[in-house]
Amino acid sequence: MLFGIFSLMTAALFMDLDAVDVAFTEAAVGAGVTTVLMLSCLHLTGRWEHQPSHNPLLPLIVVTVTGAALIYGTLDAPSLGDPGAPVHQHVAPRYIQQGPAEVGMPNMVTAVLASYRGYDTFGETFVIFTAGIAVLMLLGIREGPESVPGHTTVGAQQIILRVVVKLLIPLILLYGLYVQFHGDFGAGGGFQAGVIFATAFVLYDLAFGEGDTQRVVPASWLPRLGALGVLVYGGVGLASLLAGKPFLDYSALANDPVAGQHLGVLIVELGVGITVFSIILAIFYALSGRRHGA
Amino acid sequence: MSLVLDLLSGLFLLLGGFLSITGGVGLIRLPDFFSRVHASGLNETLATPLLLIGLMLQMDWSLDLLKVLFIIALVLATSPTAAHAMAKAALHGGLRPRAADDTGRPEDDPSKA
Amino acid sequence: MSCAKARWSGASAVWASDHMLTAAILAVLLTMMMALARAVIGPTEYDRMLAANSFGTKTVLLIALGGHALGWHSHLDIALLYAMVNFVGSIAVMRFFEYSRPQDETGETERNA
Repeated sequence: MLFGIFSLMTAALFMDLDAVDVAFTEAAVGAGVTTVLMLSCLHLTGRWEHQPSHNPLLPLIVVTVTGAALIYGTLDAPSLGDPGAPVHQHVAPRYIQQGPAEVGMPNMVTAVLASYRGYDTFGETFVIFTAGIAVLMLLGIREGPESVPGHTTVGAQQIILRVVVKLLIPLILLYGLYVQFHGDFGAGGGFQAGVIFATAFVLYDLAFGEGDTQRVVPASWLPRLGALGVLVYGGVGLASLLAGKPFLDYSALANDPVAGQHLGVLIVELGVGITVFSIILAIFYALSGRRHGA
Repeated sequence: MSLVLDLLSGLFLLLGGFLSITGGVGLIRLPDFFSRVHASGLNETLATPLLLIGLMLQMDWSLDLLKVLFIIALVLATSPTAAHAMAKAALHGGLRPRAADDTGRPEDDPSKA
Repeated sequence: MSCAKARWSGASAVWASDHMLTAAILAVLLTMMMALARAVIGPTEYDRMLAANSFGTKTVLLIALGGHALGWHSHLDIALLYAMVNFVGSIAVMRFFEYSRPQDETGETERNA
């Protein structure tokens, strides 16, 4: 949980740098998902490390030297907000000046993420999907006796928790939808929304147990949903290709280029959200399903 | 009108801040886990809405007002639940509330001798 | 005469509520430090959990109040999100705690009636 605190301080730092979307994602992923997943891992592996079998002095020296070299390297970097810095010279002014005209979206971060750098985001979505597949290949989701409906290993005495969770989950899902579709205008977008959706189901799992959760979202759906998200994203690119324009050029999607951009960004963010949600939930299922008698 | 709002806002903020600090002091000074749960849980469940209402009174009419209301509702619903769940987990884990003459640690519990 | 008096007290009321906001933020920061102290000291793990949960709730307040004072955008979305995330984290810690106790492995399996 202290890692969650650290993550939150980082998010606050991002806010101070006026990077709201990043702060949002950092808060959601770092303080939320990572905490839960790390707890699952800790639970599986035990709470105390083995004593190191070799002298830790040499690694310490290596790390110190490397760290010092890195810090020395950053001394030469331009200071924050320096207008002469390379990162502000080449493409950024074009995005800033022509973004509103070409993409027509108030949130410039989403415009750059989904439209100007859409190919990179496609790669990111693919990375998330691959990570999920790797975890599923290594751990697998157990369909053990816990998945039998009605048998939960969480005590039936948790009435207060269950009632409150039942009240909260629809609201969390609604908030997730808001974040997903509001990404054009404020902070938000596919990644954050996917994490919020997954958090709602993780909360349900924590309160009601594996069995009931697997009734709601069966484990077999999750790899398929993950693939679906990536396919949606790639499909948009393919549609642009079929219309005669470059891959992932959204202006081909509608008569008016700006409307095409809006439509493209919407569908693409939806794909990202679906993939992120299903993969996070799959990893959570994989880790927590091994809890009982692995 | 704005005079009244500003004064009310200041009053709410003052109360909320005071309650928050009280909760923090209770967290540090009280002798036993269960009393700390009680102090911290109750205090922050009340301090948060008070502080946020004080904030709301300073804001203009906008969507942000509704968002602050949502935060208040969420904290009101989840904070007591979390405190309850923590106390329950501690009870399950063997921690016992401290009576006048024992230390509250499981190994010192006379009923488990 | 009464207009001058009203204007003066109006100005001082705005002054008061601005400073109240700063005072409230300072109070929240103080409480956060106290919660951190408890997280470091707390003899049992439950104390640390409680302190972390408390820290999270205060952070929600800090983001909401501080964001308003510093003029951030969309800070309320993040505050709302973190209130949620804090709750889920606390429940997760307790769930996993309960299952790590050896005596619970045999006795915890209950069936719904």
